[in-house]
Amino acid sequence: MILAVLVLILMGCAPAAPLAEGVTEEGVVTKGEVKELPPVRIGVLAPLAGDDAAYGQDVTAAVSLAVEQINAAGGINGRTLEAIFENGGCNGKDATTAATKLIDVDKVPVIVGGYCSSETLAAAPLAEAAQVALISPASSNPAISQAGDYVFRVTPSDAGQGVAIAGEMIKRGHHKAAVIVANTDYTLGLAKAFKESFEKLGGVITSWETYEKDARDFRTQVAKVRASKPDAIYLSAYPTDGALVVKQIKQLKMTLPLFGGETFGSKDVVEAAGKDNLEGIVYATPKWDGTTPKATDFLQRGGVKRGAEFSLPVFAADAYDAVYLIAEALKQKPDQEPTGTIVKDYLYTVKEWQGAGGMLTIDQNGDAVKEFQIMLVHNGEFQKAP
Amino acid sequence: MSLAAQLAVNGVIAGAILALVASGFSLIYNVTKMMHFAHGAVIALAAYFAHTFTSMPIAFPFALVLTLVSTCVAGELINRLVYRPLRTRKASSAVLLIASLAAMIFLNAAIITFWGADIKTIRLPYANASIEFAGIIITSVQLTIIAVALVLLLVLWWLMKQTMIGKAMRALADNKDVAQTVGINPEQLTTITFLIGSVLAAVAGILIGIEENLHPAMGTSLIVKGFAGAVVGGMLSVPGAVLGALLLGLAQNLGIWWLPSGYKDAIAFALLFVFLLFRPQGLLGKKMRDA
Repeated sequence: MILAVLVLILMGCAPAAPLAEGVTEEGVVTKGEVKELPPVRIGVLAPLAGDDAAYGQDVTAAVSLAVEQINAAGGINGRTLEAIFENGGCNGKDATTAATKLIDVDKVPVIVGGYCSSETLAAAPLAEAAQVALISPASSNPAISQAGDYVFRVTPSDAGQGVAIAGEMIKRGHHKAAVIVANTDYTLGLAKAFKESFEKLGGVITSWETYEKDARDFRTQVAKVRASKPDAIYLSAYPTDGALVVKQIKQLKMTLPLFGGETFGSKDVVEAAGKDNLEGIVYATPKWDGTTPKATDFLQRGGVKRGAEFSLPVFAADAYDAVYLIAEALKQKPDQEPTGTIVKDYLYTVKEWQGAGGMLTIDQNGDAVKEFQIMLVHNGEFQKAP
Repeated sequence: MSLAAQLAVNGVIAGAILALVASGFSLIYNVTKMMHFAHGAVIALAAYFAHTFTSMPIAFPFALVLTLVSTCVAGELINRLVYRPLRTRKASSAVLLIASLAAMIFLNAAIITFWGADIKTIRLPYANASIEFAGIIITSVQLTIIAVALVLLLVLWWLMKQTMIGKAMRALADNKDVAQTVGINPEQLTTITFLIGSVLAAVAGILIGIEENLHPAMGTSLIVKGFAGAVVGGMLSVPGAVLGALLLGLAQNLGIWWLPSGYKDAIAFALLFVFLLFRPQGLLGKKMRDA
């Protein structure tokens, strides 16, 4: 009853209204007739600046959309939801600063992020120690499975992606592969998962070439790959650098079949590499049907908010789902102050939950259980590989 | 044989790209004795201008001219709005250095605000053909970059040694007070320097943008390596900076033939370290006199 009154009062208020006189940080309502509670604040950790700011913009749009929708539908237990965005810079150093601020200063119970694996791996011990739930929409490094009890992701580990793409390569008759990989947690984790599965299936790695993520000149790495005489190349890269690697491979007139990580399923890469250069590249990506009603609705509304198409739509959908999961978790305990533990306990029970990012089940490691599908780029479009 | 030649060519391409960056940075340092790190961001800005103008329905050469003009305006604005007020307050070089870093961060953010963080490209009106010669493959854009870098080497040498402006620049660099007594206007000369620097930035931005695509933070990584090239070549010699950048690119690309490719940046900075220890004046620089 009291709750219903509170909801009614709150709906008449502007979201994120400043604390009225007599309302303490804990939301204890005191003086006068007006009863209101402070908003439930969640942290968001994503690359908002630097080379990878495009993904930060994806996450910002997705989270803002979810927050708006949840607030329009009455918020959480009568309280509005508010997101605080911090820049993780797609690296461990910035992510540590950002996560510390969210945990110690803003005192959020839960953080959506990091986006890049380096961000999540850096923030995980801090979140674990402070009992703050950390939910990554996109980090796929296999090490995150063991990063802590409070550490979750709504995207699957790359261990599965490595198996899928290695199997596909062997199936297509390529037994000698060269690997070109960016020197980051995400890309190395993926490339190692690929290498392990590929060798288990009897394949041979002819050459393993790394580069720093901000490098723009890969010609000598490509020349080394060519000299090692592989019959296919596996690329584990972020979109900006991956597009250039492909471009420089084609400039050196190499016609070897190319295989890659999920980042090649990005319109940005097609634009930056040129669709002729990207023609026929095969990649594995978490299975996602962008045509379900939930997904199309998200892509349409989210695209408006983003002001452009999402760079990597599947992970944007995952970020959107993460906010809804948090809201659902906190709604389970309407009489308690929101904590990371409530969210954590709820997330371990998530089974066959239908979101914009598809059907979601979370396993005992806090990882999403999702299948991978093999895709290929044809004429600048992404389609299921035959 | 062709493989070694290909690696050497790769090195020259990488070096020429750094030379485009190092030349403008070194010119401005020479005349104003100021580390203009925002030069990298001006290059990024030029690339984004080129992206915008070449996407418009206007002739390609005209788009390039517009890019050149806009970059000059931007470069001079930084000089007027950021550096000149500090110079008139007799700010130390440390203050100017910090101001240049601030300007760089500001421009990075401005690029994200106006153009967004997604990858952008500069579309050429013609195909960027790969040319094969004696087993070496190079594209027409890469050939242009190398040619421009070599022309810059000659033109900058000629400008600094043979022209009145160059002599005035060197006089100003040598002793500001004496230069003023012989009728050199430091502010005017600084403006000219920034304009020439901006032209170099525009050329670099267009060529690098075509070759490596655009992203907002591109200026930062360019200036770090361009700066290393300038130090190796000799901070007090503009042609030296071009040469140093070429050497750096060559060393990086030939070096990772034997070393794992992850050591590419390590090679660059090891070379920088060796030069700082054993030849701090750089390849072409003269020893700095004690002040």
